[in-house]
Amino acid sequence: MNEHLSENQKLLRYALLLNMPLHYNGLVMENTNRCNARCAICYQSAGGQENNTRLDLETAKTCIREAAEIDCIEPRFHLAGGEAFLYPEDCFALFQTAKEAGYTMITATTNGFWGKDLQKARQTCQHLRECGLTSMELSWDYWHSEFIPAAAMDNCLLACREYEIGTNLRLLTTKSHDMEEALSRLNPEALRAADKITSAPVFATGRAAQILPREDFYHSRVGLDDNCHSTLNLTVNSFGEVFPCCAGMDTCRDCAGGNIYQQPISHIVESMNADPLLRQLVFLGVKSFLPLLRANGCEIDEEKYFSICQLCSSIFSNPEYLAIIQNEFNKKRQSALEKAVARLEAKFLGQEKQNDA
Amino acid sequence: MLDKKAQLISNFQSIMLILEPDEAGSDFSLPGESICDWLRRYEQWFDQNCGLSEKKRGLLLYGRNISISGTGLLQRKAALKNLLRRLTEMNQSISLHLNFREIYEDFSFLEEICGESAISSLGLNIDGNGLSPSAEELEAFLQKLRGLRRSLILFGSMDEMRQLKLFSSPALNSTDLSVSLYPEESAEAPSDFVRPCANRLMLCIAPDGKLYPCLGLIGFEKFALGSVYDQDEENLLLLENHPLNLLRLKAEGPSLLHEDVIDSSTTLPWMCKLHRGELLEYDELQ
Repeated sequence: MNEHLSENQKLLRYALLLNMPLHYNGLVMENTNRCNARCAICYQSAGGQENNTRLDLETAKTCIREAAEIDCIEPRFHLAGGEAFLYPEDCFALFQTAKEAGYTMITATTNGFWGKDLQKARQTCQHLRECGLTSMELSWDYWHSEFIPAAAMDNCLLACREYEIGTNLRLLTTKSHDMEEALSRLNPEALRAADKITSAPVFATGRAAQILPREDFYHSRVGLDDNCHSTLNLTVNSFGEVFPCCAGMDTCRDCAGGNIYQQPISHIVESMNADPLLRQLVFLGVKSFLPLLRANGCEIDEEKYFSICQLCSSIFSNPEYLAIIQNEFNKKRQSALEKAVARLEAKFLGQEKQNDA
Repeated sequence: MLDKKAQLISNFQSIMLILEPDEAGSDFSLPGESICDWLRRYEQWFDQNCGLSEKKRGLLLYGRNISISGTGLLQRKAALKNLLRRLTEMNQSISLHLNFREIYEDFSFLEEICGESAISSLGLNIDGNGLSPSAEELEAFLQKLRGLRRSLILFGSMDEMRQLKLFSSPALNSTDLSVSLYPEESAEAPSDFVRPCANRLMLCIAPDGKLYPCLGLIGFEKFALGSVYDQDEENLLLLENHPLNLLRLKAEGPSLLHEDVIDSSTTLPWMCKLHRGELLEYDELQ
C-alpha cells in the first residue's frame, strides 16, 4: 500500500475496494485508431499506416444502446479516435443513436481538420447538432499545428458557436511549448467563441515517450499515490476491446475486460466490476502493485514516472509485469476457491455427522 | 435503469451554495448554523434514498460535492472559516469559488483554509480584477497557488486572461487546468439553442435559503424545491409534484412557446434567458 497516505485514507480505500461499485463517467468509443496527423505527443501513437482499424457501425450502435441501460454508466457518450471524423457518416449515425438511446451529454474529440472551409464547417456543425452533439473537444497545441491549419480550428470554433455546440479547447503542454503559444496561433475572434479550455502536461507515454526529450516533461502535481475510481470512463477501442479508462489503459490490449464483438457490454461491465485486479487498481491505486513487482525482481524507479496514468500504462503494457500480476491474482483466486470448498466440506461433513448421531 | 426519483436525485448529488454577507456584519445572510443543520438532514434523507444499503443506488454516492460561491465571501472570513471547518467535519468535499484579486492580495487566508478544510477544488474569477502585476510577481503567486495542490478552475473572459499572461505561466502550464470562458455573446439567438438541461440541473441554495433545481430558476419562488428552514423530514426536496416537469427538462430541455420573450437581465445561455423570459411574462406551467 502507499506509504504517503494517512491511516484513514488507507482504511477508506479498503472500504471502497470492498463495497463500492465501479462507476463510469460515461461511455467513450474510439471508432477508429486511424489519424490524419502524426503528433509527437500522441499517447496512442496514432497516425501510422499499420494496424488501422474501424469499429463495425452496427456493433457500435448496439453497444451504445445497451450501455444506456446500465446504471453504473453516466448518460454521457463521447466519441474519440484516432480521428473519429475521418468517417463523418459513422459519427453522425453514432451521435443519432446516442441521442435516441437517451444520453444527455453527447461529445466528441477531433483535431478539427474538417473545418478548412467555413461554409463546410457550418454544414457539418448543423448536421452534428441535429444528430444530438452537445459539445466538441478540439485538440489544439503546438504538435497538432504541424498537421492542422490554424484556420481550420478557427472555423470549427466559429461554426460550433453558431450552432450552440459547446467547445472545449484541449491543450497539452511541455516546458518548451506552453498554452499561449498554441492560443496565439488562433484568430482572436475565434478564440472568443470558445467556451472552455482544459490544459494538462503531456503524458510521457506512447510516441511522446519515444520522441520528446525527457527533461521537457512536467512532473504531475498529484504524484503517484492517487487512485482513479472517480475518473473512470468505460472505453471501447477500435478493436472492440473494453477498458475502464481512456487515459492510456485503452492501449494495453492484453488487459481488456472483454470485447463487444464477442459479448454484450452489460456482461463485460459486470465481470469488470467483479475483477479483483481491476478493483485493486482503481480503488487502491496503481502504486499498490509496486511491492509485488519489486518482490519479483522488477526494478521500477518511481522517479521516472510523471503521473499515475503513465505508471499504469507502463506496467500493464509490459508483458513481464502483467504476467507477474496476473499470476499472483490467479493464485489468490485458487486459494480463495480452495478455502471456500474446505468450508463447504466442513459444513457438509459436520451435518452428516450430526445426522448419523 | 434508475427509477424516476433516483434519476432526479442523481442531479442533486452536488450542491451549489450561494452566499452573501449579512447586514449585521458577522455572518452570511444564510447563517452557517442553518446550512449545517439542513445539510445534516439532507445527508440523512440522501442516505435513506440512495445509501449503499439501497441496491444499485450506491452509485449515486459518486460525484458528491458542495460548491460555495458568492460575492464578498472574504468580507466574512471568520464565518467562512467556521463554515468550511464544519463542512469538513461532516465529510463534505468542497469547491470554493473566490475572486482572483481578493486571493492575490490575501493569499495567507487561502493557505490557512486549505490547510484546515477539505477544499478539493478552487475556482477563481478573473473578470474585472484590475491587477497589473509584474511577470515575476504573478508567477510567484501562481506557484504558491499551485503549491496548494488543489484542482484549479479559472473563470473569466479570454481577453482578460491573456492580458494577465496567465497562459504563459510555467506554474499553470505544469498542472492540470480547467478554464471556463465567458464567450462573447452572439447578437442574435443561435439557430438551434434548446438542449437537454441535464448539465444545468443541480441543487442551488440561494442566499435566502431557498432551494432551486437550477441556477436559471433562482428567484422564481414557486419553482423552489423547498427551503433550508423547512423542517419537514419526509419532503426535504419537493421532487414529486414540482410545477415544472424536471425529468423532461433534464432529457429534452424546455419546450419554448414564446421565443420572442427574453429575460436580458442575466448572462445565462440563450435557452435559459428565453425560458426565464417566458416564465416571467406568461407565468406558464409546463
